[in-house]
Amino acid sequence: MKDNLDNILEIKNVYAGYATSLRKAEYVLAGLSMIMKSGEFLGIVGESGSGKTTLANLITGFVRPISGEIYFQGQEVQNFSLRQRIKQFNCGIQMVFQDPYSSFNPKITIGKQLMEPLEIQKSLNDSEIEEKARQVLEQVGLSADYFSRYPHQLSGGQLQRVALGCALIVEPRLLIADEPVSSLDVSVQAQVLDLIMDLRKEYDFSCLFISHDLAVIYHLCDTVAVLDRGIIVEQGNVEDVFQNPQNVYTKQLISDAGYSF
Amino acid sequence: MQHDLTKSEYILQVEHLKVVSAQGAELVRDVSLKIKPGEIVGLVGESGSGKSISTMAIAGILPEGISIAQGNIYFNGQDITHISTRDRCKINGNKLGIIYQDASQSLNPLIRIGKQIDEVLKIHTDLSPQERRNRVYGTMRAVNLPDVKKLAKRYPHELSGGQRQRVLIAMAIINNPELLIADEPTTALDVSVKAQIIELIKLINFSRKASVLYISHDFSTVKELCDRVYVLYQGIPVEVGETMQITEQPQHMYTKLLLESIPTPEKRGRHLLTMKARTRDYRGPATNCLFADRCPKVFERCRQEVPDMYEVCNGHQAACFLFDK
Repeated sequence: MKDNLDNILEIKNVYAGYATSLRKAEYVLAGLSMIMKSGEFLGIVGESGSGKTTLANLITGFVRPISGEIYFQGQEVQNFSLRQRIKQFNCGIQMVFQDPYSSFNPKITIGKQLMEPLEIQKSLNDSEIEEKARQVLEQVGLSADYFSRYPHQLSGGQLQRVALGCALIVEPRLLIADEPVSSLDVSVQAQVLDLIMDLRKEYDFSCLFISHDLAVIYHLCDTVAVLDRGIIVEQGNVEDVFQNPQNVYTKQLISDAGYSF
Repeated sequence: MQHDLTKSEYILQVEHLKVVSAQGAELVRDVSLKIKPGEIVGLVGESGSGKSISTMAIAGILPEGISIAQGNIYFNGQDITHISTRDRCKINGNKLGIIYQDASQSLNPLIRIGKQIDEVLKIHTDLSPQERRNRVYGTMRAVNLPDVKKLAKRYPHELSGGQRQRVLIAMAIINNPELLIADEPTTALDVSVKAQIIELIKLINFSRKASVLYISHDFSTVKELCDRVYVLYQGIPVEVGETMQITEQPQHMYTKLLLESIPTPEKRGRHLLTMKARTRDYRGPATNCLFADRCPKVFERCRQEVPDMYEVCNGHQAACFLFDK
């Protein structure tokens, strides 16, 4: 048991990947270590194949590490039983995915999908759950008549806002957002970014924000970690890293993006 | 109607193009655009703005059920709006090169790279197999593909995303087209690869004297690449001008909205949007300014008529009544 509660997330020397044959393994994450402070918005940048999504899946438990330790709020998550994982973990960590269209069940109304995470928790009664869901729907900027609509009746940006609502309705400590604005149009992306900023004030949560768009990371995050071939090559304050990159790879990434921060 | 287009004036001229679906939805309402030889023109808009449909109409590859209802398309002075498939095949892949958005879906997974590039030559030229092979290798080198002889024997899945996009570009330019249409060629790519592809398109424009119609929703690449820009909103161009005019002094409120949506270092930690959120696109016939509901400067006339293109200055035009003098 670790007692450093300032760090919401601590990853120590994690290896993760997949087997390419019986004896060989291809490591996607090769000895990755990082620390994330409570309340922090941490941006993860890197090219495709650098292990961004694997890192997200590792923290949420979709992928198990080959070796290494992951501490969430001071607790080693691998010691959790499945039951503990569902109960404690699911309201502690929530995720928003890249493609809003495949994140929802097409046969269930938006309102039901918003209520589902609370129903699993069983801490509120039915009328309280519905009230909370309606309140969250309003917070993400959708009018009450969206409550009974189906996913196909919403646009990508609206669905992504509902996805944020679904994630935040259980008041998680940590939100993992894996390229949540990459598939959206610029003006819709701006809406969702504005919303994330508003929700940050409303709900007090930490966020691991994955994006390949450096401008988005700079806009939203406090700190940034640069991922290259499975390890973090640079981590620090967003301004420091973007204005004064130390690592060769980071320098290349920033000059390719063509921004001057 | 009379059209005395001399060959050199415009490589592509689109006049009042209207494209509708079988259900009658207006996907492209009234698009007019011109491209001069050697020019790189950007077509910017969000999804649903009709930018891809417009280019499909130009290339004659509209999907089943979607058709051109009105307007004309002239390529090199020749009316290609409703030409036969046979005539179309003489143009596409020859004088008109097209790069599609998703490189992994545009290549046949069962055919080796070299053979797929060669196919374009086989159809359009009478070169001998030896000459064709040399030209395939030469073009592959021209798009900076490494180790071309080995790579030509590979299958698409063995290549990286950036390499596949280069193969598509090689196929599009191998016959030295006069016009290159690039439909969001960089969306699926990493930043560094994106920058390389943009450089490559610039180089092709310069060395092969090909005009380029570049379709994108991404202002950062448009700024980098284009001479002139058309901004599309719900199937109508709302602003036209040189890239500098559009990005530095946008006049139409929609262009302003697009530009303010882009996170920049100065806007860090602040809200990006000041205008109303987008609602569901209206697909019926336009009876007023389509941006009126979201425009902060809306007035009476905007809700009654459809605005024309009004001159702001030096070829900079905006479809907004504020500029109707």
